[in-house]
Parts: sequence; structure tokens; C-alpha cells
Amino acid sequence: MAVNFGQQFLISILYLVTGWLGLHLAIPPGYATAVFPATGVAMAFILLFGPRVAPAIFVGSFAMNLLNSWPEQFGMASLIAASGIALGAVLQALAGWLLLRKQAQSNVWQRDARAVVGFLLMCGPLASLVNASWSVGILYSLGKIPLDEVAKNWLFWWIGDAVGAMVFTPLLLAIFEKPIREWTHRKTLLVVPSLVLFSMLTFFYVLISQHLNEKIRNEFHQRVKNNAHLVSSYLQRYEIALAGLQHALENRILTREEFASYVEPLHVRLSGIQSLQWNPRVLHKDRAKIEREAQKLGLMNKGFLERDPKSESLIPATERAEYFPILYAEPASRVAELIGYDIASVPSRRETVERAWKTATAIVSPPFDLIQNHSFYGKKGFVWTFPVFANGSRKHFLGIVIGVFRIQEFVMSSLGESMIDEWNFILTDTTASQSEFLFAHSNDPGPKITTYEQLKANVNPTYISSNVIHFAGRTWMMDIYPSKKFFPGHDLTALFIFVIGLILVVLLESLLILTAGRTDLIELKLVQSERMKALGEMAGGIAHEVNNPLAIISQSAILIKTLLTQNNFDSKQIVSTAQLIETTTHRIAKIIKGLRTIARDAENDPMEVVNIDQLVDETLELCRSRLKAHAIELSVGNISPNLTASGRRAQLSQVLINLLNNAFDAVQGKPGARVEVNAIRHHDTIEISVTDSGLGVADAVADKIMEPFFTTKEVGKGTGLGLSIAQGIMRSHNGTLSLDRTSKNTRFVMRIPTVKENKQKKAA
Amino acid sequence: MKKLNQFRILIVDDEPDLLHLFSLQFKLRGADVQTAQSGNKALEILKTTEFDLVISDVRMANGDGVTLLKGLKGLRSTMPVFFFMTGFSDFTNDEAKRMGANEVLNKPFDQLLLDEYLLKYFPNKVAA
Repeated sequence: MAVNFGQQFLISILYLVTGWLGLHLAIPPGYATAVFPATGVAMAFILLFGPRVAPAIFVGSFAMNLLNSWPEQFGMASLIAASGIALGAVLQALAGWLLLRKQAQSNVWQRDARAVVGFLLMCGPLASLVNASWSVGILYSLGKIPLDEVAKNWLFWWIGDAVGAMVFTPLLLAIFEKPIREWTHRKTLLVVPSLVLFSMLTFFYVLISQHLNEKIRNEFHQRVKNNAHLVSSYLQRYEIALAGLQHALENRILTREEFASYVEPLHVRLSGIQSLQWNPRVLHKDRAKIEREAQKLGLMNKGFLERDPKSESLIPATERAEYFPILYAEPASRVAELIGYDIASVPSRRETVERAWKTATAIVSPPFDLIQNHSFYGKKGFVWTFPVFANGSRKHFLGIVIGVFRIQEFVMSSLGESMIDEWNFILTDTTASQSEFLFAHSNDPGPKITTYEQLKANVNPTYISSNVIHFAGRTWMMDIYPSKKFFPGHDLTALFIFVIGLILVVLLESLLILTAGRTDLIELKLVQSERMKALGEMAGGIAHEVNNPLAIISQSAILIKTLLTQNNFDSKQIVSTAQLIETTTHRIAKIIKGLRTIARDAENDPMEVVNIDQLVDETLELCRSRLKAHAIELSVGNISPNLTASGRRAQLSQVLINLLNNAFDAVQGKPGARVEVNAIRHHDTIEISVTDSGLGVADAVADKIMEPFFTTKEVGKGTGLGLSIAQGIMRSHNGTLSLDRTSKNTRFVMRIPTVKENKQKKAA
Repeated sequence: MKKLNQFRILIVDDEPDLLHLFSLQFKLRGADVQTAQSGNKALEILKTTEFDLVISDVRMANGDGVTLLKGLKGLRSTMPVFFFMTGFSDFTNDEAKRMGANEVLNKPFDQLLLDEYLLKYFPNKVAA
């Protein structure tokens, strides 16, 4: 069957829409599609039209996958993935086609239980192995699926495709397949209940999974609520530690050893401390003295330092009113070369110091990039500056205590292991109008999300929990969303119940395929067997009917030979014998024509103009000898050769034979057995009547005589379908078949509009 | 074609053309031919006339071949009867023979076979 561009396009669209719907039946976090109807679309159309629909399947699948990644995940990788998956869809459909084309073409699968089950298993679970393996392989090699999720993804892909194919292939075939007789009634019987059950199941599944999602969502938000304070608590511990250091320095000047012994346990207890420093305030007049003493104590060896703005190397600090050199720093190893570094040489830090001093409060710096960044610690840090006044009085400013912290490390340490596994989040400093990204944590594969906008686009917003962290004048925003690990195993229960329900839909379908329209199927078979029966009954008569003329021909030939061997033969006799051969061959031809008429299924024949006289003549030719052999007198009325009707010759002949056979059965073996056939025109109707010598039909029987399976014949002699089928044929000709109750004898009348009236009906 | 001498034959068939052809053929061979279009008609003739041979069709309205055989039994005739069969009949060749037919010829039949049977049953009446 040829497929034009428009049809290809429609198949693509159908694939796209059903696939898209299928993807949206997925439960979060999105890998589990229990049913993917598009697979059924691909399978059904490749079985209907052959591999030439491959482009449509490719385009449909490609577009669907691209649409699914649009716009956030769109890129080269998603283009490659979409092409790969589309190719997989085509390969899978081709595999199904190779497995099933013979079955689908012969319609065998619609008839016998084993074939139906075999068909469903092959188009579903077997063919679906192809794309599950192919596409999951592609997604894995593109890095879109991590290794430990390959098996799970493969399984869900396979289930979704298999169920989609099993549910939708038969339905689409039923809808789109070129109608064959037994499908006309089954179409609705199969498609409607299956779709209703499928829709109900899907509806309840969506309802239940929404409920479950709601539960999971609430659970998530509850856990966030219970744990979001952890980061703040950790910050408080920093604050307490620094405040302690501040307090100690306010009471008296600590030695380096004392400082170290105070700070050391903090490094053990708290994570994320880059360094803790003591920067005393040194007036210029004391610089030389302090430098000397510090060098003597071995605290510093180069005096006060600053960075050369050009070379970035450390040089002796230029002269200024006051200095805040790093005197102690722990852990020493990390900042040893910075001892003596005057932070007041950096204007912004000088400004922070001033502010801490003037306001007498601790100040947290905006986030900045740590020089010694580390892949685990991340690169963002912040500085917490505490002013130190002598005896706690604001009058005498001694210097500052500084804590430098690694943001990622401390945030991760503040969260428990389960939260680290179950949460993904992005942390942003939102103090300034221009918010600054601190770091993102994700357990899941895929592109890294670093802004709230990306987050909203990629994650169901109802799953995002935005938490504000206030400390020391700064505001951080922690947007938490669940990682794949958060979704507990039990949410798959609904999915598996759904899958089982879908398998029940498949079973219902199989049952409907096998049972619905069973009557039609039986009727079809009986119609065939009725025809075979009529044929069989006639076979003997026909053999007689054909062999007789053959005998005439052979005897004529013998006679001609004999005559020719005589010396003075009568040429007239030879001519007349040859003439006999000629007319006898016509007689055989007529029988053959009648036989051809009855032996075929004429349901789909086109209507043609049928000459009634010829029709009756040819049909009777088939019955004549049978009637004669049983001594039944056959009379044919004077039928006008001009009577014509529009119809299917073979079917009309079948009806007539049916009536003649009934007449035969009714009168056979009875004295005075007679059958009369006539055809007349009555207004715009042609009436073909078969009358037998029987004495009519009892009223009770007459009422039911046209009903299917009604028979008065002995068991095994009639199916009771003959007249009902005959009536169906006459109706399809806009005609009728009826018993003439006014006739003294049993008389059936076929009525059919004349050609002229049929044409008018068409015009109207 | 072999001549038949002093040979009386009754041909029974409901097909007028065939009856005409057979009677012409046998007449040409020198036989004395009578015809009947049904089994009952043949039995009527057989009641009054004697024949050497009856050749009859099986399927006929108004007294078929079997009726004819039964009737002949009633007349205690020992005269040979050849049957024409048309295939797909109600009985096989063997059944026909059991019912009393001496030989069975299937239509359309082989002329040589008919001659063979004639020679077998009437060696004296068939010219060499």
C-alpha cells in the first residue's frame, strides 16, 4: 500500500502526541513510563503499510524527544540522543514487522487464541527488547544515564514499550485495517471497551500517583522544614567560636602558643575553617618595634607585607597611619607565608575593619573566591571579622579576629548524610541586589543547575523549597529540591499496579479479539459452508450435466468419423453433427459460468447491470439436473429478456440457488413435486419468484423463517442461516426477500429495484 | 468400426441429442436400434420386445437406471445391461455391478472399450 506525504505526516503527529502523553504518565523523577502508546502506533502502521512508514516513525520519535528536552536540555547531545532513540524506534518497528508481517497479513492472529497471544507477545515484549537496549545504551554512552541506573532504565523502557505495543497495536489495527467482514462489528466491540478500561485505569493511576506525589511532596517539605536550620546552627557555632577568641583577646594579649591551643580544637570540631587569624592594630609609630619583637619571637621574618599591585609578589608594606598585619594564623602551614601581611593594604578589607571597629559588631564579607581552592571544598569562601577592644570597652581598639570559611565544606558538614543523599540544592548569596551563586549540590546526572530560573524550568516547582539563612547581616538562599534518591521505593507500587492493570487490558483485548464478533465469524464460516454444501450437492448434478454434453461431443466426433469413412456420405448430416458439437460446447460454457458464479465470495464485487433472464437461466443450469434426477418438474416462466437490475450477479444467483435448494428440500420425494421460477416487472421493481408445490408455510414458522439459525430441516441438513443470509444480500441491494403468504403454494419473492430507480437513488 | 449382425439394442438416455447420436451410430453398424427417454419407458418396451443388449443412462427423471435394473430382474431377464455413468453419481462402478449392471462405461466413454465389451458378450454377432 502506498503512503503519501500527508499520511506520513499524520503518522508522525500521532506518534508525537501519543508518545508525549506517554511521557507525561511518568511518575517523578521521570524514568518510569508504564505505558508508551507510541510504540503501538509505530507497530500498527508498519504492519499496515510496511517499512515505508519508517520515515514517519523516525520523525515522530525525533520530534518528541527534542520537544522533551526543549529548551533547557537542548543541545548537541540531545540532538544526538533524539536521533539515536528515533533510530531505535524504527529498528524496533522493523523487528516487529519482520516477526509479524505474515500473521498480520493473513489475519490469522484474529482468529485463534494461540496466534493472538503469540502476536501480542511478539509485538510487545519481544520487539521491545530492541529499543530498550538500543536507546538506553545510547543514553548511557552519552552520559545521560549513570551506570548504576542502566538496569532500572532498561526495565522501565522495556515495560513501557511492551505494554504500549500490546495495548495499542491491536486497537489501531482494528481501527485502520482494511475492513474484512468479521471486523466490521468487532471494531466497536474491541476498541470501545478496551479504550474505556484503559482510560479508567490511567485516570485512577494518575489520581493515585498524584495522591502519592502529594504525600511524598509533603514529606519532603516537612523534612526540609525540620532540617533547614542546620546550616544556621552551624554558622552559630562558628560565631560562638570566634566570639570566644574575641573575648579571650579582649582580656589579655595571647601568646602564639595560647592562640594555637585555643584554635586547634575548633579545627577538629568544626569543618570548613580555612584559617583563623589574629590581626592586631599597629600604629605607624609602633611598627618598627613590633616588627622587631615579632621577628625576635620568630613569628615573622620579613616584617609587615603587602602585595605589589604590579607583580603580585609580597613586598614590605608601604607607610600608613595604622596596620593590621596577620600576627597569628592557624593552621599555620596553610598561611605561613602570609604572616605579616597587612590586610589594611587592601582598601575593601580596610573598609571592613573600619566598619567592625566603628559599629563594634562582627561583619561577614561578601563571598569571594578562595585562592587555595579545592575540588571538594569548592572555591567560595567568606570572611568573618570580629573587632577586639581592650577589656571589651569600645574606647581602645586592639585589632581584629578573622575567620575565613569554606562555604561548601561547612554547608555539607552541617547536613546529615541522608540529607546530602536525598537533597539537591543551590545556595545563593542574596544580600546584594545582584545575587551571587555560591555552590550547587546534586546527586543526579544531567546538566548542573546553578540558578533558580533553571531550577524552576527543570524541576516541578512544587518540589522546590526555598530557605532563607540570615546571619551577621547577610542573607543566603538555599533552594532545596529532592534528588532521585529521595523518592522512596514504595512509590513504584502504584506503577506496578498500573502495569498489572495494563496487562489486564491486554488480556481483555485478547478476549475481545477472540470472542467479539464470534457470531459474525461463525456466520462467515457457515456462509462459506452453506455455499460449499450447495456446491457439493450440485457437484454430482454438474458432473452429469457436463459429462453428458461431453458424451454428445465425443459421440458426434465418432459419428463424423464413421460417416466420412463411407463412400457416399451425407454432407448435411456431417454439418448438423458439427453444429451439435458447437451448441453443446456453449452449453458446457454456460454451466462453467454458473459454477464460477456460485463458487466465489462476491461480497466485495462491484454492482453491475444484471440481466435477469440470463441470471435465472445460468442459475437454473446448475440446479436443473438435480431437480430432474429427483423427478421434480421444473418450469420457468416467460421471462422478458429486457429485465435488468443493478446488483452483484453472484450474490443474486446465490439467493436464487438458496431458494431453489429450499424448494428442492421441501418437495423432494413427494408426489407431483414441482418448482416454478418466474421473474416479472412490477412498477419499478423486479420480482423474481420461486414457487414450489408445497402447501405454504404455517404462520408460526412464517414469522421466524427469516431469522438466523431458524430451521425446520432435520439436524445436519440445514444451518438455518440460508434465508437470513439471503435476506441480508437482498437488503444490500436495496431490495427485499419475503415469503408470499397470499400464495396457495409456498412462494418466495426476491424484489430488487430496476436499474433506472437505482440510478435515481444515487442522484438523490 | 465393427459391424453388428442381427443385433437388437435398446438405448435409454434422457438426453435426446445423445440418444439420436447413439442410435445413428448403431444403425450405421447394422444394428436394430430402439430408444427410450426414461427407465419406465424402457421397461414398457422391454415387456413386449426382446433385445440382445440394453445400454442405459443412470440418472434420469421418471425412472432411473436403478429402476430399470430392478424392473429387469422382475422380468427375469438375463440380457446384459451396460450402464453409462457420469461420475459423481450416487454409487460407484462396483455398486452398479452388484445391482445387476454387467459393465459400466463412464461418460464420455471410450469407443474401443465399448467394442471390447461387445466382443466379450457377443463374440458371434460382432464382425471380425
